[in-house]
Amino acid sequence: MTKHRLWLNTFMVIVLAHWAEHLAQAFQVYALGRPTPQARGVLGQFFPWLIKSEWLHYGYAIVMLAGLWLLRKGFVGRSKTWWMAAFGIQFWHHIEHLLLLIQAQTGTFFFGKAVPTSILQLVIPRVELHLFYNTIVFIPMVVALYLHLRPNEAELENAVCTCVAPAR
Amino acid sequence: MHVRGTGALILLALTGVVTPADGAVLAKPPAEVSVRLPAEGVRLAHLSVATSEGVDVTAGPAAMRDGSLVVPVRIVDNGTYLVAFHLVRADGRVDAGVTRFGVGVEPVGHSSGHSTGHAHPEDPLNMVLTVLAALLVLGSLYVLLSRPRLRASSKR
Repeated sequence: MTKHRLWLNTFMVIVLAHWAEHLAQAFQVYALGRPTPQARGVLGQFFPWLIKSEWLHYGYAIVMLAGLWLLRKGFVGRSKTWWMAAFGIQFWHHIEHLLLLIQAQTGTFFFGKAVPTSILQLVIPRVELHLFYNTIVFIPMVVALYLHLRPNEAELENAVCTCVAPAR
Repeated sequence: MHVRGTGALILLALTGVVTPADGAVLAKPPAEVSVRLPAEGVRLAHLSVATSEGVDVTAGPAAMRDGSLVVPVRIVDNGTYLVAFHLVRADGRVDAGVTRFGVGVEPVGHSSGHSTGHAHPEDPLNMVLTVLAALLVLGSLYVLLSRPRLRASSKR
């Protein structure tokens, strides 16, 4: 578990870079007043196909799922509970992405809709799916990180990584 | 098909352009709806037309014609109609979107360049989520960059 800190930091860099792209896109829409198709974040300005690739978004959902699962063993106590909550939500997020991907790739739209539609969008039609799921996954992730890097005495005693505890 | 120079640029710009145009108000129903295809061709193309309630109004299979994917439609009522297209280019890139046109009325609702849940519709809920996400990013940066030192009593 000595590499948990390295991989957790790497994972968080990927997560935060992804958020930076989404927030840049939101800034372009809300602050700069750009039409949605022209608001492509930073990378999307140079590589417009990136933002249109359903495979890319699905790929990120898979990376998130894998990262949350592979890093889980470094978390103990309260932080593990929050981390696994994030994993559970991300698992459902991945299922929703899979539904969208299948519809996008086959051209067969579910639920009698005229466009690819997720289950959440049946309940809240105007929600931006990716933003919603990434936000509610990120909440328990941040709580887990906070508790992981600020453990109580018992959690520190049981720590299996070097994120906080000194190297054994 | 190889297209070079200005022609290629024009075709590139026209890819995904739908006829009738997004936001158009038509006095009479169209007999067909089309979407412009990319010059390099497509691996997969899909085009559907439906009422704003989701009732399919296509009247036959789509066909390629003059660089466009064309689908016949049967529209008898005035109202808003949605056009959804999805094109997969030879290199795997995807062009997808939803446009609207009205027959006898102004089309209602918002169109999207991409229909699979990754746009940012200007909706209060999405704005709240964006603000919340920004705060979470700042919070996570604080948590990651300000790791507390271990108390002496905590060290083993």
